[in-house]
Amino acid sequence: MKKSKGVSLIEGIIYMAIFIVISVAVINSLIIVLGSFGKAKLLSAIDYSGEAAMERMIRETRMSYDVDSSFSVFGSNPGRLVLKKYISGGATTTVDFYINNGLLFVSEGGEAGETLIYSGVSVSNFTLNSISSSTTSKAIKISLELMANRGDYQRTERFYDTAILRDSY
Amino acid sequence: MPIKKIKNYKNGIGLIEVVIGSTIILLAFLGLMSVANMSLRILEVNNHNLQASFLLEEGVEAIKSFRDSGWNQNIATLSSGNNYYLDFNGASWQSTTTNIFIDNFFERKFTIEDVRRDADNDISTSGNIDPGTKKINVYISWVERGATTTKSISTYLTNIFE
Repeated sequence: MKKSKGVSLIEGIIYMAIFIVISVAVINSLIIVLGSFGKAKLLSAIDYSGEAAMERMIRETRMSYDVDSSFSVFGSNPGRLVLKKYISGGATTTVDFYINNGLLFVSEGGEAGETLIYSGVSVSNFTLNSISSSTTSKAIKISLELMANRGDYQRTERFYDTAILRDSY
Repeated sequence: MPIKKIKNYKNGIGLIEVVIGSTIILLAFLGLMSVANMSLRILEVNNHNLQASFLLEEGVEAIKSFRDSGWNQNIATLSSGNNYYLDFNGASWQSTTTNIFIDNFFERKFTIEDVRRDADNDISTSGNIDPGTKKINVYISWVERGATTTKSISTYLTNIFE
């Protein structure tokens, strides 16, 4: 007789309390998971861009014999790096790294530039230094700062490298 | 009695079952959460590894660059076994004994070792010290979650220009 009454008020309140606690926990964890994925996406976009841009600049620098100092911008942001390198048959070409609209572009032999930066990532600092103290070789120091944001969350990462122009020896 | 049987089946979900069920759901979500956090942590580690590998490469290039501007002046004056750091003064790289942190996070140092050559002029652990060759070790270390990670790179440098 008593049991057929179904759920009592106390039981109902307890169930509801448990339900509310679970809902809050689930929603919180969902927010945390989504936040983590958002941050992970930003960071991997920055890393992909940083790796691609730095590797390309380092490789091109190593393959070059000189820097075109009339077009290159050293010691200030945004910098510009114009390298001179030999191609087949003793001919030479130029490789130009420059910033346009917050993106890093590379252009070879005066052709249309291509961006080295993943979409959603922008360059917040690109500073170059020319190392020409030695009469034996020339080198370039590169500092690249990349930025990406999503809502209020902003991520900035810096990459540094130096490369000697192997053909300048 | 048939009435008793029906009563027993009508009991439905008890409090214990609700608690057990909700615990399972909570654990599942906690699992998902820790996976997300772990993937972010791995990406952080990966990010620092990437930055560190460029810094290590820069270390070797910087030492080569001041080797190019004078072996006797810049390399021969360094004593083996000491820790040296790299300082960029705006125009060139220099070695210094003052520790310099990169972005207050990465610590980069290098050491220099004498190189011995045997009777065949091959690099060996014994034999005479070759004053025109040095072994360079560049180290980069950083603290991540209370633990220090160190990576290193080594190369031989020779006095080819003086």
